[in-house]
Amino acid sequence: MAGEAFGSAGRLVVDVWSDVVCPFCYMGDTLLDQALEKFPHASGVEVRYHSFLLMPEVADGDAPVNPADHLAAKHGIPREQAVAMNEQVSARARQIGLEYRLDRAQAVSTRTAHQLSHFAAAHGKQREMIRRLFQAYFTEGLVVSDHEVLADLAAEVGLDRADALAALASGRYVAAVEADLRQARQYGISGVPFFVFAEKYAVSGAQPVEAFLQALDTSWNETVGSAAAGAAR
Amino acid sequence: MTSSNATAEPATAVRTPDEHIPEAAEAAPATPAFELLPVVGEAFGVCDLDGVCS
Repeated sequence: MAGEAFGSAGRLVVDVWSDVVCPFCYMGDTLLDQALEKFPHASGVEVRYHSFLLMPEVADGDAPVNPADHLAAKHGIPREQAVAMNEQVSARARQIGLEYRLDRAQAVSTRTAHQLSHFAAAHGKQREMIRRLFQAYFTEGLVVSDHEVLADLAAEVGLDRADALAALASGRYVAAVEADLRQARQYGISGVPFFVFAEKYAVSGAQPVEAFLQALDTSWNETVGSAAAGAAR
Repeated sequence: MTSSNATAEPATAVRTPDEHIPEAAEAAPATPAFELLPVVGEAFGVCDLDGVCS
């Protein structure tokens, strides 16, 4: 992402690190979207998604597991406690109009889903793809590591199904995912969602619409807006 | 992925380093010089690598 945050095109770039199975990432993306609806320069904003693995210990071939079971096993807590924790997050999601069905969610490795995100980015459909992946995991209980499932989702957002399938099978975007993970480490990102505005300001976590609006305003005024004002002088 | 209580925390905005970090270089984690913006509203939460969302 280096060097492209606000180039000659006069656009403000928002780089987002997130994971498909991250509950606050879906919320954060929704809240950012709501902020953009209120932002007067939204047409000049480009949102780019970067890969982050919230469950790096889960391997590509591992069988799907319910997130409550995963949490209970990982932290040695009763399953009932894990379920209750998920319920609290689901209630938070409902406040902004999202339906989480974590009772039927199937947690898997998201490396392949991230490859699909990069495939979609190459075809100008990344934002739609990310939103579709969130819904598939949190609401529909789909296995978002299955190539056939992912190819179906790609087709639903207007991408070529066969091309998506071929990209996943060939590992065409493995390096792109690894580059994102590497950059996240270099930035010291240990939690997601993580939003970087114009390579200058970052917002950690899902924040209210007002917080995103403020970040958009500040970064716009200091970059694109400032450049436009300078050119006018 | 799963979760715990959503807590009310300040809306945090931080300033990242002005210098770009080469993507190809594997280096020690950078320590960004964070510049906090004023608190705006109630935070939703963040999910950490330990698998807990709060």
